[in-house]
Amino acid sequence: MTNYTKSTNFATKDALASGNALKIVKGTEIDTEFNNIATAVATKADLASPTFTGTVTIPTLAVTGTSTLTGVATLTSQPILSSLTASKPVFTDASKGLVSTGTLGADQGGTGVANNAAMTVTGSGNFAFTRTLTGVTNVTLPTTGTLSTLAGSETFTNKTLTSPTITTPNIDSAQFETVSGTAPLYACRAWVNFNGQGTVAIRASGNVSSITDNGTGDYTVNFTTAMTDANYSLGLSYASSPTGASKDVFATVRSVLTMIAGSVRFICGDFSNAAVLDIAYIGVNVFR
Amino acid sequence: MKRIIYPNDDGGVSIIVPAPECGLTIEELAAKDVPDGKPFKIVDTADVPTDRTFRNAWEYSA
Repeated sequence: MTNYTKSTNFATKDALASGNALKIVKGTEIDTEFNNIATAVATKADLASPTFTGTVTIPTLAVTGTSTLTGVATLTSQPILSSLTASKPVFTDASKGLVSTGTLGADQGGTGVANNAAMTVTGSGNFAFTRTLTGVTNVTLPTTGTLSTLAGSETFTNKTLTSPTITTPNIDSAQFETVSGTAPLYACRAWVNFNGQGTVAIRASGNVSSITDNGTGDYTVNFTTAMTDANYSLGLSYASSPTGASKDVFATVRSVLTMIAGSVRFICGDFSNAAVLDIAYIGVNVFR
Repeated sequence: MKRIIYPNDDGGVSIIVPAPECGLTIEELAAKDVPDGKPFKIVDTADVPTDRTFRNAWEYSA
């Protein structure tokens, strides 16, 4: 950038005596002045749509109306947006996310704490926020919506999980409302309630695919999913009538014929005379 | 409702009663719960006698 510098002081010529050769204004002097002016003008920016090159220093700038920055501007110092009439800047292109490696202020969804330290993100409405949490604790999860896959050890307090897939859980039995003490709790692996008289039929069951009526008082319970082995605990209950009021027989399980991982076969009979009998109410419970 | 019948090793007939909640078709159940190598038939529940007085005398006919 060049400023215009006068080469000839024409005013001094007025004081010279007539006949002095220097009093004459030469064409070359005028031409030099115009050349100096042309050079200076050519290196100045226009008032309308100026194009700057190099490092531009701008004094305190008052911008009114809508200004658009094009190209890539590098801000060497932190910009301070102190007079925004709106609550926060608006990014018209949603794909250009707000990236911060320092501090997230309240207007950025944070509370002014360092981005790499504990942080609480608040706000409402629909917005996307992705942040990789590494080595943090006490993460507050949203009360609604869908969580992404969690890794590591997480503690949920007062959360309702709908149809969760839990792989090899370690459940503290003391957390069951109806359980007291710290003795471990084992769930029933299969159960069935069936009628062994008349039209033999299953009333209700769990993990039982079918029962097999092999003959008088002779039944097999087939598991939908087999046990790991045959060393399960078998619970059998039986009654000749739903209330036990019928005393025509003393129902009992006389013997367990076969006990394998996929099924158990047993024979029911009259406790008083050892005769085999069909039983009206038979319950089978399997624990392993 | 259906039942699956097959001859058992005691000379009688065994009757498989499906569990309503098992989620298997009657054919899948037969493949699973009928002992290997045994012939079987799928019959209506109504075709199975309800008088079990001589249950152990029932026979399987192909």
